Amino acid sequence: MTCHWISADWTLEEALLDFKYVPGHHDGERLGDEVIEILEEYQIINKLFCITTDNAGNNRKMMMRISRYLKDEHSIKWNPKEHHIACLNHVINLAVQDFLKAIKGLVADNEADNCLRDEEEDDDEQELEGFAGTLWKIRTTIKVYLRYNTDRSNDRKLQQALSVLKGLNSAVISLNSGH
Amino acid sequence: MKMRYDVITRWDSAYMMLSRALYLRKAIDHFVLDDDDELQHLWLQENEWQMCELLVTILLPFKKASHTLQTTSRPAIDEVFWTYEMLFNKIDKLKSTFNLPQYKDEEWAQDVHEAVDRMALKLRKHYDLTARPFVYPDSVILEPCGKLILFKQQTWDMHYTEQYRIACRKRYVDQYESSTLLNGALADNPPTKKRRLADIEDAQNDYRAALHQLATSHVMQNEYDRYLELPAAATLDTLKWWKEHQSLLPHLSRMARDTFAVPATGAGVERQFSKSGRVAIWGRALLKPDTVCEVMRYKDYLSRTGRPLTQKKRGQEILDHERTVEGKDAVDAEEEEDTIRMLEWEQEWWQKADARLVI
Repeated sequence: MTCHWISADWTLEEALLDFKYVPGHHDGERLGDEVIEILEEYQIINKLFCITTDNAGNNRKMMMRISRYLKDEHSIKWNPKEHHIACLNHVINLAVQDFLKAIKGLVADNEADNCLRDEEEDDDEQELEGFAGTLWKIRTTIKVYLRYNTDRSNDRKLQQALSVLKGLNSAVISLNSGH
Repeated sequence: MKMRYDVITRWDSAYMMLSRALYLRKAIDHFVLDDDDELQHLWLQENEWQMCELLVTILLPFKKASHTLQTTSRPAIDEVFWTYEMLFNKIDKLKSTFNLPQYKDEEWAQDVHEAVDRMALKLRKHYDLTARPFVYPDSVILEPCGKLILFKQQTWDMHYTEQYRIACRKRYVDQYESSTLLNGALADNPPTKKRRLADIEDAQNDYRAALHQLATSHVMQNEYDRYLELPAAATLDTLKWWKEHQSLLPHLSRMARDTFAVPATGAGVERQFSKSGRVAIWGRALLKPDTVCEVMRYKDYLSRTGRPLTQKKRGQEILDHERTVEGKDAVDAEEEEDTIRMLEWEQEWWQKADARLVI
């Protein structure tokens, strides 16, 4: 959670308030209570203006929780909808994802993490055509390249990586990729 | 230059991957076709490179918007409406291109057309949510270069311009106009005793009181009205302008101070997450969440103030900090050079792409 303000001599300031591990279920009420606790700790709850969040659904409830608290405990009228700013970067990313999804070119969620680990290629994917096929080829090329680069001198490993790619060898190979 | 792989949650990563692939096209061709034929099936044909180019052209405005918004060192909240406007315009332009007769029967063009529609739909959904938070229009109006210019674009209904102008004025009058100035411009010249006495006498005088009421009513111009009549600012540095005009517009500048502090992006928090990756490393798996928090707060304090908490050096923590900073710098320098090269390429690309899209 960070805090942003404009200083007396008009520079935009940013500070980290807390970096918290919240165990359990992250529902809106719970997150709201955490935010309230931090704001009370710093004694800045009466200075609260807007909150910028990503688009996760629980944030709406969080805003409502904070609004109720401000009204009950501090008699401050604070409209949760009017003070909720959505991170525009997240919005743009979601829109781009919808675009990629529509041309079937979105990278699978788990695929990215595994790009340097061994994994068996899905042979069906190779039959993709058009945009999806192009993107698949580029991604696969990068994967091979990264594997190759991980250990340039070790030809054996490269060969293994390549054969895994072609689906010829399903043996598990483990490259130390620094992951 | 390194190849980039895209990650679903990483902003602009699809664009990054594709643009780098295009930039490194020759190298990729060479790599794929080199010595044996193991990788031949990955070779991209001319039409596939063209698809890649098309995607880069479509995604570039989104990447550019996303990139400029990520900064948290200057206000960007006033850019939100503008960004939506720009992206919707780009989408309209793309759609009219795909409606041209030469693309009407092309299957791929219709696929892309549909995908652009989906993207527009998602954007529209979130744009509709910007109707409630008033900092969006207020920040646009309080940006001294543009003021009401954006709302006077032909895509905006005249009636919105008036609505935003009046609503912003009302918020100013309700929340800032009558606020006492604790510090800032006026506090530099505290009223003399004599002057204060005169004020009290004025307040007791019915005629003066009536005049005062008139002065604060709509008949007289308030700071907000005067602000709108000022010539457009010559500087793009919003905060600098407000700093210079603080004494002229003491109450309105407080509204500007609140408004422009609002970040339009969660990038600040995301960067903290990245930093935490350098604290909670695999080798320190036993770190308790509280310790991570403390280290994070301390790092933040150090980078803001540039000096440790106490004069006595706290050996390990500072060493840790220095080490992570050093390591980061080396990586950053390399990344930066790549970024500069990509930006130059991008600029050239954009000019070409724009020329091609013009109908």
